[in-house]
Amino acid sequence: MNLQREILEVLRDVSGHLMTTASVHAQVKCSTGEDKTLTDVASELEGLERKGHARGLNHEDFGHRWAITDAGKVRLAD
Amino acid sequence: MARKTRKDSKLDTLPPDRFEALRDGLLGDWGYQEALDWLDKKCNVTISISGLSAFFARHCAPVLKERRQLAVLRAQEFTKAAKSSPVDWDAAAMEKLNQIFFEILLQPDVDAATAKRFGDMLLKDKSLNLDLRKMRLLEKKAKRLDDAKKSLTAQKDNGGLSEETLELIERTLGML
Repeated sequence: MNLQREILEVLRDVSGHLMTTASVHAQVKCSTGEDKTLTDVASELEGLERKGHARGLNHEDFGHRWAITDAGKVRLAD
Repeated sequence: MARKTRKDSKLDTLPPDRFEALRDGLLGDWGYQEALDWLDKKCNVTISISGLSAFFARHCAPVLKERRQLAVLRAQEFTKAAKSSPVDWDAAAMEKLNQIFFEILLQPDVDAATAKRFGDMLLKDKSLNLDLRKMRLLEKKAKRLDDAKKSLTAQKDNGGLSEETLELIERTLGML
């Protein structure tokens, strides 16, 4: 299973809320049939941000968090 | 024709306590390697990563999905309760509350009932603070009225204000 897709599914499920990289990692670390480290997940999230499918936000109260974008939702629907 | 054996059948027939330990480990801090080591040492079971991955897909992935969906729902329920409380939360504060509760509820070992009690306490505390602020405002208002009354009485005693004027002022201030 594709890790980026797994990450997008997690972010879509919680749409309207933000997630830390660690929370996303906890949800997807074993989902692709192999162990994924926090660094792997952080790297994929950055890749998703470059494609415009996820957005990294520096929230003034919560710190750095991730959210899915509309383009990310469209990618999942494809 | 021989029936194909499931790759994770060995894991499905583990004793219940071992089964739960494996599932909880994978839902927690374990990766596949830790799980394989544990199975080998504690259960004397050797299995491939793909077998373990099939177990994860059947017994862990649905739990994770349900956990995040429940976290969203419960955070929304809490926000709804906060909206109906006497505290006048603004939209930004409400959004922060929702996010805080979502993050608490997403944690693996958090009991939803405990989180709700915490939320209720928070609302009650905010509500009490609101009542306290209202009470202090009323006390200040009462003190101002008292001061005004004393000042007016002093004026009256000095013959500065007529009975009618004094009564009019007192009625206006709601003191009569």
